[in-house]
Parts: sequence; structure tokens; C-alpha cells
Amino acid sequence: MKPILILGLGNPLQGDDGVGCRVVEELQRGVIASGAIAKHPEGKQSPTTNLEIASSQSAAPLAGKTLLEMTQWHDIEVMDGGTPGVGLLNFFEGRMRVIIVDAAEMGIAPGEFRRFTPEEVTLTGAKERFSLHRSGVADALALAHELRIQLPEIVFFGVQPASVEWRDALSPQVQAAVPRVIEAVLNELK
Amino acid sequence: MAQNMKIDVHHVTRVEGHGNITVNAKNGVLEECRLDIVETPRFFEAMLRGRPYTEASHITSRICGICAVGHATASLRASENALGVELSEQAWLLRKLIFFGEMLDSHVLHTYMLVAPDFFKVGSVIPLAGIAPDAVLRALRMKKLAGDLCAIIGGRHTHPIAMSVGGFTHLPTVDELKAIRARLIDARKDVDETVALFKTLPWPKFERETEYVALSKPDEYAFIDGTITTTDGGKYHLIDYRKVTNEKCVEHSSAKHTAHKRDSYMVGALARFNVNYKQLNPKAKEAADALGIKPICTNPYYNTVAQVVEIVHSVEEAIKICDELIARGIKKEEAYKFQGKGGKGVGSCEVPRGILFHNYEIGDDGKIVNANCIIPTGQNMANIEADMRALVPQILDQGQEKVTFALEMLVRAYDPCISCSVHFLDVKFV
Repeated sequence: MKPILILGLGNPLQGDDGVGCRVVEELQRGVIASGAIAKHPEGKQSPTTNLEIASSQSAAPLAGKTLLEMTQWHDIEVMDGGTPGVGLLNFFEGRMRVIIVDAAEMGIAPGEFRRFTPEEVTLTGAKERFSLHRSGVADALALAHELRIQLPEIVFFGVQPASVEWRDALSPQVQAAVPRVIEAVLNELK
Repeated sequence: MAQNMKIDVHHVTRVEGHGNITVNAKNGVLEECRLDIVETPRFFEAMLRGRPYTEASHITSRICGICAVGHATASLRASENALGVELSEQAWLLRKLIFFGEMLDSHVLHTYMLVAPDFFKVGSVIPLAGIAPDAVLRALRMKKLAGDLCAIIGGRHTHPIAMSVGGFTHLPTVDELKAIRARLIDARKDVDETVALFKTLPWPKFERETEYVALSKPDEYAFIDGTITTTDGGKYHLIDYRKVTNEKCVEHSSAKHTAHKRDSYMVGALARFNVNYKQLNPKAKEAADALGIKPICTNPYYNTVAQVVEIVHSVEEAIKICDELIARGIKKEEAYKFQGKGGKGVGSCEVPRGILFHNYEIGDDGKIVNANCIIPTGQNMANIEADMRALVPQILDQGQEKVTFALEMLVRAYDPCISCSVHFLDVKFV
């Protein structure tokens, strides 16, 4: 069986749609310092625009721990999945558990996030509106259902966007939420 | 039956991009018949101006997510021709291999997910998966193989970061090539089943003679470089591409129209098949026989059938190239260094949808002075409309629903990549 996968989805050029990729990027850096997300100790730079993460009180309990330390009882893979369309099913192959982080329109305040499983919600992605250019998570799961593909246990962390307009930065509300989302994802692994 | 018909398909489904079909017939006479391209302009040619030539392939590969390698390849060939850069044999083999990967990915997507649903009377690949799960699983398997092949050569699945002027910044290992070769051999089963499936589909019967344009080479079925060749006897060096395209703007379309010896011409798999049939490998020719297609085929619906033939051809060629690379071993090569002298060059390749041209002028400072990109789908627009104008009167008595469906299927058969084809107009206020 392949390791547990933390998969960030979205388009970082469309504002808050990039939140999944941002979360994954920070997890890949692997170090959470008190109050803020620090750069990788080897000084590895993010390939995307520099982002200032607002300090967060709730990150303090995880202070000083690496991702590896937090999760050493599991095998974890962290990946930026981008916008894979039906290719999403390739990420699921051979896995028991996948945690997906993505922007989600849930009608709540920007920056707020929710944890849910596919069974708990109705993901909108109409069969007729299906377009290979814009097919998303809902379409991939609908396809898996039709194909009777055995899916792993899937947990979503949906982050409410403020805006998904063309912009290569997160909104202040969603930026501020990133440390809290990371903490929630790591708690999910316990 | 009433011979008055008004058809307005707003945003044809299962094509990439946005196009509207408009048909107006009165008393059996066609008054209006258009494919309106409503996609917004892309500005890529303008974006390239002033950028270092090293960025061109990375910028233009963003023209498309499915023909990213195709655009990158044409772009690199344009820069390489402009600057007089020669490619090593290893680089040629790798360029061809990733090209076959993309051809496979795109053709599988088009045949199985865009065209097949029509024959099963469903709206998309999702309900198709419910009634023909084996076929859809097969398509996903082949797409995954194709994507992985592109990833090991190009550095990632889409937008080949490893391709650069003069060669590659990252090379696959022999082990990676052996692994992908094994998967390609396994895929022969899936390829055979693909031929078997598409052989059974009731392709619409419609013939219209037109000019077919494709790259050709004396000793291989051409995909990269070659001579521009047409079935009306045209033979041109790449630098003379404008003598074939003759682009002009039309009012109802944000894509320009092209024409050579006739009012329109066709590019794509069917054009390639008609021009280069002799160079198909034996397995591909066998598949063509089985599918009932032979040159010169003048049924545009058979563009999809020609794509199935090219799926067979691509897998076999990819296996051969893997064999050759594995036997040679992979060697690190010196990167090209800009010599301080610019130039003008044309790069051309046969992307899945047809012949693509990138034409650059690079300055002595290494920056792009000017760029022109002529996309295959743009070159098909006039031909699609000519087909529509010929087809509608033939089937007008079948009623609105059947005529609409026939037209949608016709547009889909071309595998149009509409987003790639739109252009911006140069506006001068007088």
C-alpha cells in the first residue's frame, strides 16, 4: 500500500483557489516554528511568490516540531496536485487514505474551513456540464463511482475563498487561515 | 417535413473552447451557416515580444494544456532555426518520444471521451463509464501511460519544463526508459481493443473533397520538421508557410480563416493520413485496413478514425525509440550557449490537431522581436464551415434534432482546440 497522501488542489494563479497548493508547500517545508511558518532550514525557497503568513497562536503547541516528528508513526506523502481533472483518480490508486485540501464554496466566511468526507456532502459537478478543461474533484469522484473503482478513505479540508479572481496571491483572510488548516491536517493524522 | 430550420447551438459541448453553431435555412435553401468562435483573444504573440528567447517555449506551452509539448516543440524549433542550433541524435530521439506520448494522450482523450459518447447516446464520459466501464478504464489507463511517458522526458506531466533550446535540461534514466517501454508493450492489448471498438462504430456518411495539408518527410511519418505538403500539389519549405496559410480575419470569428488552392483546407490526423499514408508503420496500416480507412479519405468524420490509426502508430514508434535509447545509453550533453547573434526562424510540427507554425525573430540581444503562431484549429475553421454548408442541405429533411446532432458531431470530429486558435486583431484608429 502506498503512503497516506496529503494532496493540495487548486490553481495558485486564481487567488484563493491556490490555498491547497499553499498548505502543501508549507507542509513540504516541514518545520513549524512558534507563531509562524518558517522557511526550510536548508533555506529552500518556494518557487511561487513570497508569502507572509500571519502568526497564529494556535500553531504554538506544534512549535519546533518537524512534520516527520509529528507523523513518524505514519508514512506520509505530501503533494501539490494542481488541477488534475479526471487525472485525480491516478493519485488515489493504491492508497488507503487521502487528505485533500482545496478551496470550497460553502457559503461561510472567507478563511473559515470545514472537514468533511464525500459521503457527508453533495459535491456539485453536473454530469451534463462536464468539461475536460474544467472537470474537478466532483467529476472525478462521479467517474470513479460509475467505474466502481475502489476509492481510499478520503477526507476533505475545504477552505472558503474570499475571491478566485486572477491573482497570484491569497486574500488576507485565507492567508491567515493557512496555519490553522495545517494544524487541522496534522491532527487528522494522529 | 418543413424545410425551414433555425439552429443555434450555444457553446458546442465536448470540444475544447467555446464555439457556437448558427444555421438558418428557408424553404430548403441555406441562408446562414457559421461556426462562431466566441473565445476571448489570448495575446501570446504579443506576450513574447521583448522576452528572452529562452522563455519562449515555456510561455507558449501555456497556449495549451493538451498540446503543451507540441507548442514547446514548434517554439524550440523556431528558436533553433533562427539561431542555427543543431540537435544531437539523442535530443532528436527524446523530442520524438515525448511527442508520441502527447499524441497518445490527446488522441485517447478525443476518441474515447469527446467522440465516443455520441455513439453511445450519452452526454459525456461519466455516463459512458456507467455503460461501458471497460472502455473508459482502458482510456484512463492509456492516458496515464501517456502522461507518465511525457513526465519522464519533459520533467512533469504538463508543460515540459525539461525541454530547452538545443536539447534537454533533464534526462530520463535508462531504468525509467526500460520501465516505460515495458508498459508500452503491455499497452498493445489496449491499443488492439481500441481498434476493435472504433471499428464497430457507425461513422456518419458524408464526403466532401478538400485540400489536405500536412508536414511530410521522405522516410518517416512526419511529426516534427519536414516539408509543407498538400494534396493539391503544394510543396513548401517551412519559411514559406505564409504561402499556404494566407490568414484573413472574418467578422463572426475571433479566429482567423486560412486558404490555399481552394476556399479552405483541412489539417489534422486525416490530412496527415492522406498525405503520408505510405510512411505509417505496418501495424498502423493493418489498423487502417481493419477500420476501413484508406487514402484519400474525404469524410471529415473519419478524422477520429485516422486518430485511432495514429494511436497504433505512436505506440509502436515509441517502443522503437525506447529500444534505441536503451541500446545507446543516455549521455549528459552540453547546453547551448547563445552566441550573441539573433535571426529569424520557423518551427513546425504536427500536433494532434494538425500543422502548427511558430515563427520568431530574435534580436542580437537574445530577446524576441516578433512572433507569429498559426494554430491548426484556426486553419480548420474555414473547412468546418464549408463542410457544414455542404452537409446541411443533404440532411435538411431529417429534422432539426438530427441536423443539430450531425453538425455537433462534425465539429467534434475535427477535435478543435478553440482556445488555442483565437487571435487578437490589430486595431488602427484612423
